[in-house]
Amino acid sequence: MSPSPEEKSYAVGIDLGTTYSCVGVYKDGEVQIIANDQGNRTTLSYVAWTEQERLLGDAAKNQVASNPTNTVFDAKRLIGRRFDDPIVQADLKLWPFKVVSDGSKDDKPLIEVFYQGVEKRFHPEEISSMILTKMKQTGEAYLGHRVREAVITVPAYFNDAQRQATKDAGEIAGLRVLRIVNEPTAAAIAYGLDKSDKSGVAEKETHILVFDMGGGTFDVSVLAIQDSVFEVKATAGDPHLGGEDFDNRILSHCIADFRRKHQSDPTRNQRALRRLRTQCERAKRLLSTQTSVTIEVDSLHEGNDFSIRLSRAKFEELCIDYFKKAMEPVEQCLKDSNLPQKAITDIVMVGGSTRIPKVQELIKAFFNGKELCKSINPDEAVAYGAAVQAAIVSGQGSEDVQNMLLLDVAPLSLGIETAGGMMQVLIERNSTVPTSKSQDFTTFEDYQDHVDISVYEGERAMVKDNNFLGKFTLKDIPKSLRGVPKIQVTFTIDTNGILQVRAEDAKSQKRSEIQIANEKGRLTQNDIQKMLQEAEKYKGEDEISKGDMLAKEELKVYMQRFEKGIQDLDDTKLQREDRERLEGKLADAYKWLENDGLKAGKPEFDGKQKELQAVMNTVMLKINRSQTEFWDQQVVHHEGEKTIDKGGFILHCGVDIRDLIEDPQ
Amino acid sequence: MDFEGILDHYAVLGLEQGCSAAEVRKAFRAKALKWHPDKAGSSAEARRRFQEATDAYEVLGDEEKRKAYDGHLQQEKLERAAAEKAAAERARATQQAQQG
Repeated sequence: MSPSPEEKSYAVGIDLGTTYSCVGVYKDGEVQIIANDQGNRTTLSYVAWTEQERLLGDAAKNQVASNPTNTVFDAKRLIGRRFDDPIVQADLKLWPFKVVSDGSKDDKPLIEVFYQGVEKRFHPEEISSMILTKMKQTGEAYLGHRVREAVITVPAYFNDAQRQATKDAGEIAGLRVLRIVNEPTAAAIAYGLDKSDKSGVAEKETHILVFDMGGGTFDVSVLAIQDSVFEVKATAGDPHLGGEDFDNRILSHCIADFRRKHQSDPTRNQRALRRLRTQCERAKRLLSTQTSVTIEVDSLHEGNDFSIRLSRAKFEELCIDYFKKAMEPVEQCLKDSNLPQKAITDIVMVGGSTRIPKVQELIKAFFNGKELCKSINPDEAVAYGAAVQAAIVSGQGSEDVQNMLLLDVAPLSLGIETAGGMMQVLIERNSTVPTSKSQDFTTFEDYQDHVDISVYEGERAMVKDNNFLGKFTLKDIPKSLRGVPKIQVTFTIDTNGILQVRAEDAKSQKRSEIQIANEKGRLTQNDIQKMLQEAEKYKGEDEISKGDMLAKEELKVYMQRFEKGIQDLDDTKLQREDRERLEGKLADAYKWLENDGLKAGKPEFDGKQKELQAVMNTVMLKINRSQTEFWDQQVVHHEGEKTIDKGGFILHCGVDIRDLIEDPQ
Repeated sequence: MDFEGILDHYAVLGLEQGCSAAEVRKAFRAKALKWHPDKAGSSAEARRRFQEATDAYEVLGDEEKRKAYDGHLQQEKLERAAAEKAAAERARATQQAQQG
């Protein structure tokens, strides 16, 4: 089927989460959150490589205990970061899969797995792209149309490199990324639509605070909503705080307990860690509704069973510093928004971790006991909002949606280094985007003919305390005394929150510019193209692998029927030597399946099945030419039918079966 | 610096100097709905108009910045008045001198 230009294509909204992802589409005037092939409305952000195939989503996690080193998750905690980032270094110790540096000056992290006996390395962008591909396919399966465009969400507090890398991941997945939207902003849309459904479109200005704590990241945003305009007033957060950190605390607690009880250390046993972590995560979830829970793993390490009772109070004690730390961005955000606390009309809770009673309690206390808004689904709100934004941007929505507008902000101040290592801010944090700001700079020395422009993001006065984004040089400035040249530096942030910097010498009109993330370990357009092709190849491989699997299953089913067929024929009909011959063939086939079958493809499986059919047919022919009873029992086959579902006999009509006989004895 | 003298933030948002903070917000949102790239595309005019509106809102939407801006406008007004007065006096003086 070749895609025609008129073929309908939808734009979806994808919440690309650290642990779970979710996809939604705006269709027929409402948002549909789409369930995956397992029937789940959220999909695990997991990718795994087994001996035979690549697994995505829920299927990848299901086999994690048996294949921990080739099961990759948490790509969002790596994306847009350097390998030597202290956060990456700390996370490394907890991951069962291997992460290495690419060895370049950018020090990009690469994830290393074994696939079909070969070592493979992937950029975090590629892993994310695989998850996005899964979400895309989920959308396509539901819509029955291609999905070519998407709005993808990121934590509001994601920096420039992380945004850019997420956009790249979308491109590698073959998606046109219409927009990178901040997660709390997307959640606010879901809230806003929910509200307007109930009470009509609000003419009155309302202010809300979105508290978004998921599996790996944490954001707070304050928004003003009026006349269907969603204006983000301020945003703050921690790009590395979420449910997984709480899991890790429980895990450490369990390991310490195991060591004490058994005098042995399971930390090097990846399978044990994985099994224990799964139970810790489960315990954390249960503790949101129960006051205590038992964590149990049979034969965890060196044959020792593990069991521990964990109370909610103990869990809170283990994580209280994290919970308290989460209140700082709340305070900061409120302060930045210039709003008094009482101006906040609703506190919207999103992300799985907001189910934790202690988190709810702390934020409620912060707002002097104000009730929290829990009317929207914390797991789906972000994808819901992204789907609406996709409709707005692609012009697919109804009039209501077309009248909506999202005004987002840049989460971090952006500026350049000036003399003495000072940070000169051009764009202040919480500035509405898109925006463009210029400032004039000049030379520091007499007859200086070039200037280096180093770009940073962050709130500290000295650049060394901020995050370096990139550097470029403006050359061939006409020589003159210091302080004379006028160099205009312009920062432009687009609607995705991505920065572009330009410098221009007023006199010579010489120009120089960079899209920042290009400089900072970002994938080049070439890299992206290469990965896109890789991804296509993978998709092909997945398909082939699917065909292989199917053929193998068909063969297995046939072999079972074959076996039953031999049993069903009594000795009066089946001569002893024929029975032995059939049994011998079957045994050979089983042996083949166990050995060669591991790396065989569809042609081999089909061939094997034909071989068995041929020998069976020979025998049957011999038994009784008129006897059709046996065949009738096995399958119902229709004239002209070539294949029969569920591994029945494959009969090629019009072919004399004697043609297939291989060894007439 | 180049802009401030020429572009009046109040004029950009279609407001009078004494308007309320709520009016500022409402006016900005109306402009944003009209000129945001999602609504108006990425033409040069749309970009400029949106930028002007956000620049104006950045100042007028912040109590302190607005106060400083109002002070600056007041100062300009006084200076302009003083300059006009001085010019008028100079003109009168020249006239008198010519007559005399």
